[in-house]
Amino acid sequence: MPITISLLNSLSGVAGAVTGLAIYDPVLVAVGGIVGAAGLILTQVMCKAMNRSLTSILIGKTAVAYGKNDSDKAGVAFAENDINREKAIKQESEEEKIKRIIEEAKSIVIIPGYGMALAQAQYIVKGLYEKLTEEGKEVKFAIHPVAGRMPGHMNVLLAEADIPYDSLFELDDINDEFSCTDLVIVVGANDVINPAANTAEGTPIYGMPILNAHLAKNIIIFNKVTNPGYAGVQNTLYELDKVILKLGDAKDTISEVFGV
Amino acid sequence: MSNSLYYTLALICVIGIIWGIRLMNSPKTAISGNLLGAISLSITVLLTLLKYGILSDYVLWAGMIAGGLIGYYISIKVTMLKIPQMVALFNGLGGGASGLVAIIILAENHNIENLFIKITAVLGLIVGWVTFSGSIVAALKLDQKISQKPIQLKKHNLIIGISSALTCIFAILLIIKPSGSLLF
Repeated sequence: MPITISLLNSLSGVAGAVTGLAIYDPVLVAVGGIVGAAGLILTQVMCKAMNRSLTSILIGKTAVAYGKNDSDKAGVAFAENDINREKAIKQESEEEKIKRIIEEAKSIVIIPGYGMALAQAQYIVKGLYEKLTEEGKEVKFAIHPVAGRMPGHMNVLLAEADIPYDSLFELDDINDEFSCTDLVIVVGANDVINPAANTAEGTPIYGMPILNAHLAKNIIIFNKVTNPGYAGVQNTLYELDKVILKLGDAKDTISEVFGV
Repeated sequence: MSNSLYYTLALICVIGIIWGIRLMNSPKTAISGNLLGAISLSITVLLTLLKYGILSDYVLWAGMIAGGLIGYYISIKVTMLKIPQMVALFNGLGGGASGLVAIIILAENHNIENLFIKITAVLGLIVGWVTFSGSIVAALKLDQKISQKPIQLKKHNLIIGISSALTCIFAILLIIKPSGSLLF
């Protein structure tokens, strides 16, 4: 969807430019051309980020994998129950574990997603950012090119909350760092960290480069539900042992865990 | 206003717009960049009105003020969360506006012989309305008025193929139809 919107955006420029040609108005052509060209470049960048061609997105191959997905669901739901039960047993120690992980963590990467926008959690994330930096930890934000629902969605939200722009990092700049990161905090992101993108052939996200959150030492996920995200693919990340799931409204769960 | 003066001033405005986009690179300068772009665009509109001698057309001003007020109201009311929808909607309206201009060109000058104008107007018509309908659907999806899940129709590719083919056929018909008649 972000790619379609970016393409439509450029098309409105193209439409303006073409109409400008028809009425012999060079100014309209120029302005339309700027919008069209900028939009097309952005579209191209995002297509590259998803590792897919523009035509395959436009024709809508995305939905092909749906049938396959449904058949997997029963198994996954079952596995999820198991996870929940296990989690319930560990419940008491979990809070202590989280505390220990946070205290020990030196380098922290925060991954925001559409859920952060939905929960309006950017201000609490800012509070979290301040608290962690004050404790002397290195905090970075990892922004996937198609995180959210429109180009630059996350950047805008984080900038709105006054988070310094130079602590935001693009996919290519930060992806190699995950293997030496102590703690990844996921706030409402799903598809962009789903390792299934590397393995689940035929799904909409197959072949899309992801943020390698699964390589980090510990992962705390603040998501509302464990349901598949926008792309409709179960996130295999949830099944890893080093992952701590905090389900619920990100605003509440973050302030509960970090006390901000 | 002479042509060369108009073009020179307009060029300065276009540079202003590009510079504004450049300033949007960083959140620190983004606000002034946005302002610069908006001012440049407004001056361009005024210049164009001046050039074609329609600066005193009150209907035009009434339309612009009404549109401006609606836009202002929406941008004040909108919550941060709903900005993507708003952007998609405004974007679609831009495409729709181009489409309307194309319709006017084709309908008003239906005895135009200039092939260049005909072709560009038809192109503008198609691209403009594709942008309009696509952006409206995108805005509704973002607003969750319609499901965000991709909808795959039966024989999806066939439908897309047929509608693209029809678009091409009508485009060619519009271009080659004898001038002097709006309809066939």
